[in-house]
Amino acid sequence: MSSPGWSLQSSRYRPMMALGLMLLAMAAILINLLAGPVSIPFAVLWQSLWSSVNAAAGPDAVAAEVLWQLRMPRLLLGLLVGGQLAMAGAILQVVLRNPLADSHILGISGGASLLAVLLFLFATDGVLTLAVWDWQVSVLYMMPWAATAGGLLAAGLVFRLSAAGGLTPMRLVLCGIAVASVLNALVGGILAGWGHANAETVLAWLAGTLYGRDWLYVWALLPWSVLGLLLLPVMAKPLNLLQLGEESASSLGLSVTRWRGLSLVVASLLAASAVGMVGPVGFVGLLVPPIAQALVGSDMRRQLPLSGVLGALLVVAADGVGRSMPGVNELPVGVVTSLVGVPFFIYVLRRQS
Amino acid sequence: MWVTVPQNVERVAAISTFAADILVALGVPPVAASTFADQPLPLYLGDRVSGATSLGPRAKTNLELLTAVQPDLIVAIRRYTEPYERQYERLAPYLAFNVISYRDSLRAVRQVSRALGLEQEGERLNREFVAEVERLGQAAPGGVRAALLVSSSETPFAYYDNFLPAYLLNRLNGVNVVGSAPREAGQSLGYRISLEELLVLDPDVLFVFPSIQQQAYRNNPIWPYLKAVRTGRVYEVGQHWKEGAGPIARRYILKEMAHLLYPETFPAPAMPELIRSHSLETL
Amino acid sequence: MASEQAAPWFRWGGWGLVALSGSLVLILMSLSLGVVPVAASAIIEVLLGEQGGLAKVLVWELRLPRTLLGLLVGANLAVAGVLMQAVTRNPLASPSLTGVMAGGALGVVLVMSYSSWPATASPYAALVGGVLGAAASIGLAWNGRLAPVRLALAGVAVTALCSAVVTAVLLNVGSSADELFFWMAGGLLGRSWPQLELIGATSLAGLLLALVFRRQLNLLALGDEVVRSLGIRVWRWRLGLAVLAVFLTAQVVAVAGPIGFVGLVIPHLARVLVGDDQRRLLPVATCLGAWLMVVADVTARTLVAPAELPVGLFTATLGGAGFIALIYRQRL
Repeated sequence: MSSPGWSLQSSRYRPMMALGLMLLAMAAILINLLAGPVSIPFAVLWQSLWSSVNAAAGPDAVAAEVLWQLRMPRLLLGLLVGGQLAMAGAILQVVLRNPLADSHILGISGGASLLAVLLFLFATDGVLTLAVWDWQVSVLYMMPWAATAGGLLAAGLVFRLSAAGGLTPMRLVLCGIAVASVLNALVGGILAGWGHANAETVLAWLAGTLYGRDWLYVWALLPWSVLGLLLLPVMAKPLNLLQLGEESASSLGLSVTRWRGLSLVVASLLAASAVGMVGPVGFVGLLVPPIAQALVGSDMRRQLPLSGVLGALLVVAADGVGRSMPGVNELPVGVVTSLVGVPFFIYVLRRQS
Repeated sequence: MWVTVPQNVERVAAISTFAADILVALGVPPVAASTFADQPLPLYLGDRVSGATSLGPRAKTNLELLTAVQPDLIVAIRRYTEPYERQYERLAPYLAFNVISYRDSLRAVRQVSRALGLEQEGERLNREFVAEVERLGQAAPGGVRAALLVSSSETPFAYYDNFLPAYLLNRLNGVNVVGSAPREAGQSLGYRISLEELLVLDPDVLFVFPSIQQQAYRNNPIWPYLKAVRTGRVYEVGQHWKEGAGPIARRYILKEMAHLLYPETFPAPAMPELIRSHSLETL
Repeated sequence: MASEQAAPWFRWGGWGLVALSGSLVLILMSLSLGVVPVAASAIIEVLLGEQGGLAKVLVWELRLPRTLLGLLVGANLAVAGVLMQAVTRNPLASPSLTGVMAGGALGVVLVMSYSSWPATASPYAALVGGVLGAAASIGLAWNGRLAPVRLALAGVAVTALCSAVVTAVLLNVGSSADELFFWMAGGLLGRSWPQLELIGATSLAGLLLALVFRRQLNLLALGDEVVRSLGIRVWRWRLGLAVLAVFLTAQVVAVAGPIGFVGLVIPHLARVLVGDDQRRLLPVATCLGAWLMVVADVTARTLVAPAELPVGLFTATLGGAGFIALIYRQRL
């Protein structure tokens, strides 16, 4: 991977960069928490951070409700999802040796979508319910986990198919695209045949959205994020070696196939769990790692964490834009990230030649 | 679905048109409602809803605006709100219904009225509708075969008997040529019918649901061969037919359908021009 | 292999006979099966103009145009696949991986949502959108040649962008999502003479053009250096044939929606049967593509009759299996 010409990697910029990033993050978070159809005064945010607001009544109670039950879980989930997708992207771009790789490529979005659609079609209207002791719940409660499992199954299939070629980048990409397009075609076919009654709900999910996500989703995703954070220090060094190319890496004593496989598993876990919560949000994993690389160079010890931070910021900012569309109808976060991502993608692709 | 509803409910939010319709009919107009086709609110319900807050489409209700109106009760369509069930339940008691069939409509009216403490009013609305269906059915001469088509694509989607307007068609001594769903359970509303089959079934009357764009299936070479087209009996119906479970909408559907099936027996009903059907294929 | 002698005329005749009789059998099957089965004798009477009534309307207005359209759509997709694979020298290139389909979908949705044009305008929108989508991904991937992975990734990106815009538009206008899902699955349901008239002449012309250039296709397979040393301007042929492939695919998208995998799998099936020589490959692929499409369409409309299934479901399942088999066979 060549470092770009406009690099800001020199260490004297680093404090400034960190400061700028912090300011950006604060601004994005504050705007997301305070702006919206219900405007929330900063005072309410400040107070409710420190004290219980249950005693409050009237407009403050509404503001606190909106803040804590709608915007806060949405914000946190956005941060986690963005961070995970970007880190998965950074890992994949190293392993697949291609700056255009993304978790889409491993069939994760396709697999998650397929299970989500099946669940929507056959679990709504209480056709399927789970009984846990005397507590009856709709199978829809399982959506985050089911979609995650779908993504992981698809990634497993891609690994299985490309394992015969020793998990080479080329084979992985081609198998991944094949599996992804078959899965997407199946999703399309199933929706066309049986989706009439659920099309609106499914469309929203397939676009990748943070709409209506509550604390349950945050708690469901948190363990994966923690796992990712714990693995970061372990992954960084082997990934640095993998960047050098297969031969150099193995001459330096790295078991290339093992670490390649392991990295792919970690990337799949991060991406699949994120996609499971919010649906296929595109381009985050594609967009962020090259920016991080331009800022701090290709040393994964710095690039990987920075990717996480930038990805979190990107998703939160995109969600802010999507929510502030004119009218009451919001734009899903996945649509915004795709629209933002494409010009950048073109830039990377052109530069690569 | 056991929901405890507070004593005097005043602020009710309606997610989906049937809910707003029931609330208006019961005399408790909604403080907030979802969109109706391209309108911000179901305006066919008149002045009683025009002051409500528009919450956006039923499948993506704006939850912040919903929180801000501070509802005491939420009446919603189940199919589109169920994935976000917890968000609704947190705000207020949440009543969700599937509204496909005639029985669904009666049940929704009964349960909403019970939740509002207006049980007798709800029973009266249902009783009157059942009686009217009965009365028009007895007066209807019969012998008319019809189909209900929706879609703007090359292939229309035809509704089964379990869909409320199709049920009313049968009760008016008409025949829904598409017949009943292969299995009773589930939410199968209908299927994509080939024009070949439509020609074989050859209904006398076609009820065509409105769509943003002109229906592409009307350009098929088969279309002019259909009896309903040849005799000029193709009607584009109002948007309320899609989800007509509300007491106001279902009466409009019943009366207008009776008129369109048997124009000599039943006069054109009084109804808002906004949702009145019109003939598509003039002779 | 390009130096191999052309087959003697009687062998061509033999192939032609197989192709013709196979097509006739399939056409007859397609004309007779349906909600009301029509006997073979009745079909012949209808075609000779000796019988009227229901059978005439069914065969003449619905099944015949739909069958012919199926043949044409399948042939277009298969030939486009052969062209793409030869032009890019990439065995996994296929029209559906280049953004044509998604671009076409975007065109249709934009016109459906924001214009007051009638539904008959949709095919033109798909045509324009498909060409633009393909141009975008080929343009993106082009760096003097079309590397397989690069083209695939560019196609994925263009597809992702188009789907994002489609979703945004649909959510914005609140239009019925199930209509889009239905269209996106592809198929020939409800298609008839208007669609056939729209693409019939141009598709045939495109297919003929591809057959005319089969020698140049063979040369492209040799590799740039060899071709250049023969004094042929490689990139011109490459670009021209890629445009032809996109043109053929966009016409399919216009009348039948996006139908994936036919263009990918059929060329390989043909290669297994007759080898790499484009002079034989092209006609055989044309024939196989046409047959596959008619069989898939008949299945789609008879399997769960009276309802119809989206054809894309079958082609995706078949194509997916083929695709994966291909990756294994090629040992990529």
